[in-house]
Amino acid sequence: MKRLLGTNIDIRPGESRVTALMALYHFLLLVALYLLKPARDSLFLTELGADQLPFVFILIALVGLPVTAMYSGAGRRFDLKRLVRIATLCVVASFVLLRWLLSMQAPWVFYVFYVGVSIFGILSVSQFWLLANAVFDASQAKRLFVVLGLGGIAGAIAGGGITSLLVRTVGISTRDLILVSVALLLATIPLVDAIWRRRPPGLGEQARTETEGESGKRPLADVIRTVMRSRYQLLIVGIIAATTLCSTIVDFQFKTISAEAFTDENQLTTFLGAFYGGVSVLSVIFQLLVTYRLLRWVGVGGIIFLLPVMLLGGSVWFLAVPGLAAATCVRGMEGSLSYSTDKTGRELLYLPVPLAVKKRTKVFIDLFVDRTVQGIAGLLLLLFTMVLGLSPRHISLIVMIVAGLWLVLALATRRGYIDAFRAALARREIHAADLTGGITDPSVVRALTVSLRSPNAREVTYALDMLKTVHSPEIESSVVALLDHRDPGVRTGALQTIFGFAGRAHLPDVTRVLADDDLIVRREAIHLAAWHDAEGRLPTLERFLREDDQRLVLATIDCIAEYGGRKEHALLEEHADAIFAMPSSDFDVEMDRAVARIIGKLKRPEYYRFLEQLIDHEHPAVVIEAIRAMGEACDSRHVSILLGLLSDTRYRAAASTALTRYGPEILETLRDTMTDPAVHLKVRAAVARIISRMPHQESVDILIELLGSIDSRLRFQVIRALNRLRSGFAHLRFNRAGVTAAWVEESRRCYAVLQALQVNDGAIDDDACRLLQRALVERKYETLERMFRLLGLRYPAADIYNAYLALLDGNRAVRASAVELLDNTLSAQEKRYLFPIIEAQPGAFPVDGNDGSVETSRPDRSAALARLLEGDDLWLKACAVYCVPSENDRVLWGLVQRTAADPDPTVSETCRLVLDRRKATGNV
Amino acid sequence: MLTVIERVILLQNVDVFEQVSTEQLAYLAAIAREVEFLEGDTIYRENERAVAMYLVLEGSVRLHQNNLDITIARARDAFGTWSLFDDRPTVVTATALEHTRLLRVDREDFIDLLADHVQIAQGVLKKMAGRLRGLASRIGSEPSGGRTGR
Repeated sequence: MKRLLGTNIDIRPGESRVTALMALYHFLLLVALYLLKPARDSLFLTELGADQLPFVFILIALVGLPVTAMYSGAGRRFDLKRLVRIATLCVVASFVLLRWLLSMQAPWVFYVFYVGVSIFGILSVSQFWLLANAVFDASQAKRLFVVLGLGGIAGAIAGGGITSLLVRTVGISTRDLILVSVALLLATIPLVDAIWRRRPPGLGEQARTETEGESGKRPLADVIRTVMRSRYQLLIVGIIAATTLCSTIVDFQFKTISAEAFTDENQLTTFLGAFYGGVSVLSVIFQLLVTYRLLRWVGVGGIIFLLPVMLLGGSVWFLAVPGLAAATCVRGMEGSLSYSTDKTGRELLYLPVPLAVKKRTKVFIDLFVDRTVQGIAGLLLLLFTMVLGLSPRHISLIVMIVAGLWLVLALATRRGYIDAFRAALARREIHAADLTGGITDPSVVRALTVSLRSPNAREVTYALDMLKTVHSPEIESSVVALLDHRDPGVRTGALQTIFGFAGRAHLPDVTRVLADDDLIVRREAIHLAAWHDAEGRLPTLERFLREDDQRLVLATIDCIAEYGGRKEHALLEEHADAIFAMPSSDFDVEMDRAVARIIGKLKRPEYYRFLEQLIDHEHPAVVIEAIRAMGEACDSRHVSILLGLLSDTRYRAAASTALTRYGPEILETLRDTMTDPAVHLKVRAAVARIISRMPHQESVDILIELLGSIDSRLRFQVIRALNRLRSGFAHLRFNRAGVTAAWVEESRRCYAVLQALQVNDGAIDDDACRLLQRALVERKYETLERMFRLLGLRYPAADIYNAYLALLDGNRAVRASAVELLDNTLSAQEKRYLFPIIEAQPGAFPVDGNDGSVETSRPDRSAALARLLEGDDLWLKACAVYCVPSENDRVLWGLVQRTAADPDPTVSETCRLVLDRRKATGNV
Repeated sequence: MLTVIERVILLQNVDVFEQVSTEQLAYLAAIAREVEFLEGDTIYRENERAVAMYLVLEGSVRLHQNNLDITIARARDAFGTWSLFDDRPTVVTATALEHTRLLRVDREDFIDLLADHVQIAQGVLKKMAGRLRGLASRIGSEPSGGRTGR
């Protein structure tokens, strides 16, 4: 089965439940869709007739794109769980309403229903995969998406079968299939909730921002330009256009003939249900039995000829013997191939397209081209049937012409594919992760085999990575020879590739690598040896664990940590005492790292004491591994240990990552740490960064709350954390009142700084005065930056940032544009505060903004210094203290006396210095 | 001994710290230490591994290659600044011309400080980028390598 699917199904401990739920969700969605599709076709054909189909094809093209764009926009605004729930409830409400409207027998309702089901078909599938990408990370996706796909295939088959069963046997009317479908959709809501609860913390939001990033925001003209510049991509567009054109025309022919053959609504529904179910079964058969073999035999360049040749032949048959049998066969062949073998071929055509280009253009090609051509197909069908009066039989000639053109395009694409692939390999632009379908194209495999003999280790590793999905006996000997390669990365890659060969035959070759100097190579060798040993994986692993050679034991532990499941972990637990009590050796560091790693994987609290010991290890590599393990285990007892490690620059990054993995459960603790004056500032700054990596509403609320109470030296870090959340996660809401209050506070600080600047400027030309002046200028810009960062939480961040940069620019015209933008963006209150600052009119600063009063009087220098001495800005306070002798004001000296007891060492030291000097000069 | 604020007043004039805020310079001032040399004492020799930057508080220092004078560093002048960023051997010998008091910043301490105060690194990099830009515009090309002169 694994070989048939061309991949490794590998469900690891902790993944089975969420994988099963996701597969069930896909199953239910597809059952619902395949209940609706026969109902849609049957109702439309019996009520309105097949001649109306071209209109509805055009309608779908017109409605499909804006709806997809709207959905994508909603995807950026709402969090994914909310989006899925809202979308499902909207679909349910729409179908219930449509069921009621259908009883009115108004013709427009049948159009709306047809279009609605088609749009639901597009959105439900994309919504499912969006959720799947949010729930699983990239490595899980590679292993588990096959299972999810199987759930969908089973749903499509079952949906078709259930339709026939319900209508023919149970006696449910076609229209009531809608309600059955609605019930199934409602059942998916708690299912999605359960899936969401089981996803890894933080993963959902991350996946969402990543997926929307590249393609969603690009201007269409830019994408079209990129496609137009590439001949190869234009050929792909041509093939997709030909596929959609033929598919739409053949669908029209099939539905017209079916409507003529079955005049009864329920009979037609039964037939269509069985047809769709049958097409799904055929798709699976093609995918499992034909695609892989055909790919190996003729490659991608050959597989893309299959569907046009079939359509050409089928259309000749239909032209010769027009009837239900021929129409069903042609449409069935088209339906099953275009979702299996041909689709695989089309997807693989993108392989040599650089990833960055593919991200920009694939969505456009797949959606825009497909919908547009479907609309064009509708217009052509109108021309052929209504204007030229062609029958479905004669329309086959059009299919034959398009299929002929398609073959010409396929020929050109085949040449382009090989050339593009060679070029992409040379530039290493193909990623192994894209090869989920496997590369079996003989010419591509040949090119990769040549790369295996390259003197460049990176090129060999790259080729091995590509070849992991290829099951070709021809390359086995070349890969086995690489076990003696000088580069450990190549040896590791070779072992991983041999693993994919199901390489029991190569076990003797692998055995000698067990003594390799490199830990990772030994680990991979054990993985291969144990997983393919006839004796069985567990006995082999146990044998390795009992070895006297500590290097083997270590590699075995590492192997279990990397690849082990529940049973392997249990085996390790049996040997835990022996492993943890191992005598000291030259491999202490590696062993301790492996032990830390496995404890993180096992997540057994009884072993956490070892982690707590390892965290004090003298070797930083071990401590980092122990920190990572704590991040894996997410045990509440370790939070304080990890927070403590934030003060050590060697471990700060690892401890931050580990704490981030805990997710929102520790937000309260993080808030308490932020407000604890006993905790060092650098630790608190790191905590602000950790909160910014937890994209939850609570994180935003806590940070906004902190703005009002946090130490002034941490305000920048807190605001920056909010900016990060705002720019990465559009669904988060920022409390307007809290942000405004913080902004007003910042503007007050800015006014105080500007007033001090104004009265200090050029007052006395000495070092002390110049230092204070420079410190005040620096503060002005820092405060201004915080003010604009806060504005970025309320208004489009990019606009505000550009305005900020423009204001710092010396060019008057640029500054004027920024002022104009702010004038049209900000509220009256914000403008009243900000404009005096940016227009440099410091005489009219509204110092007290709460009651709207404006303080226009300018304080004298002594008053300004006194304000700084009494303020909470420690650095300005120290600078102001240093300036006091130049002013020689009795009140100021009194303040200096009081400030000498300040807990800040720089402030108290400066006070002592000026007071000592005063005493020394006898000027007391 | 100088206080932190007095050290900041001196450090703010060191070219490479021009873009570092005075508040951040206070952290740098806190890790600096004062050292004294008598007349004729060698502070470091040519081709030795450089480990610190110095700033003259009092006195003067002769920077020379063998008998060839390169420059004389006087009060408020800094020397050996590059040793904060790379550990290549020094190209000159530094000798005290009289009883001299220096402010010394060790590279190891400086690197540790950068880890905790990213703003200092930012300020230094800003200054370096400005220098590179200036150099590039002088030779008619951008740092990226693209010619702009033609």
